[in-house]
Amino acid sequence: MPTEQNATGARKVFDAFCEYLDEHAWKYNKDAQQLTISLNAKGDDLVIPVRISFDENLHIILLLSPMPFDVPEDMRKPMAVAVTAANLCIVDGSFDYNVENGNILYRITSSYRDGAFSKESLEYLLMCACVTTDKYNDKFKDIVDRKVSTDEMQKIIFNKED
Amino acid sequence: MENIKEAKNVYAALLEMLTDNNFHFEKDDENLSVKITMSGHDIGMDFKLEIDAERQLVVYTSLLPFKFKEDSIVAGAIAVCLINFSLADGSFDLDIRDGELSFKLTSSYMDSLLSKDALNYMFAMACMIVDRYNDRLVLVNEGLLNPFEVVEE
Repeated sequence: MPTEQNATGARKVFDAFCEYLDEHAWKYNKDAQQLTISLNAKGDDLVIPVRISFDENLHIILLLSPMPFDVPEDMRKPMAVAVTAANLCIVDGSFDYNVENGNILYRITSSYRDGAFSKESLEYLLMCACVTTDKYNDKFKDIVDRKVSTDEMQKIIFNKED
Repeated sequence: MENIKEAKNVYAALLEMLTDNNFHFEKDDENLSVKITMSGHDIGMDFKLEIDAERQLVVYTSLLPFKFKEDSIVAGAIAVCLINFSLADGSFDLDIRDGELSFKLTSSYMDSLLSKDALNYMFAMACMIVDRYNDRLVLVNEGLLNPFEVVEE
């Protein structure tokens, strides 16, 4: 259960994140009660939505970037293989794929336990979310749009072509 | 130079955390990494805990002691995706080329210092997640568990 002390820690990090975003002229929405932040970044191909929240029990900052499309039912199983291939190439964070409903999102977390965070850490998390999502969202979309098969996509991913 | 100094500080905190908790481990001071084996409910778990000085990350990985068979790869990918979707922290990685399976949990310490509590939390979380799912992934590999049921209680 979140304690008052946990909640204070989460609020501190929430405020620091908002401060960082303000300093860098990001446009964002925030919910100061729920301690959530949402923003959209412009990618090469697709918009990159980022949702930031703070888990008061686990003391982690959680950034999620959902893909702006769902995987159609007939492609859900092969997409699991493509997402798994992409995850192998990512150093930090992972793509989470709900095979049952076709949602894909990028997730990255970091511990803020004992207040051990810096604005550089927050920037790192946000940049990871944006850059990694930007790198792969068009690849997943190409599979969904049937422009490329999952087998062809695996070759692209493992050959590190962009 | 600054990165190395910071990395060594985090490494020192990691060693202190492991020692405080009476863990038996093998350390590699040159590469700022530690190997440790934990006993789980069903299957033993080998962990590598390392400090990536270049990226300023603490990285905990556990290579599972079996590989997915070629004809179980799709089932394995489905299972891994469903497990990862249920996790708040860390993820399983399946190499679809050779079936190798591992778990990874990372945290950035960029210009910060991860406390012993944070390092301990990460390790406890990693152990709990690997222990919860390693046997289920064995069953998926053997065709004895439907991958869509891998996260069911």
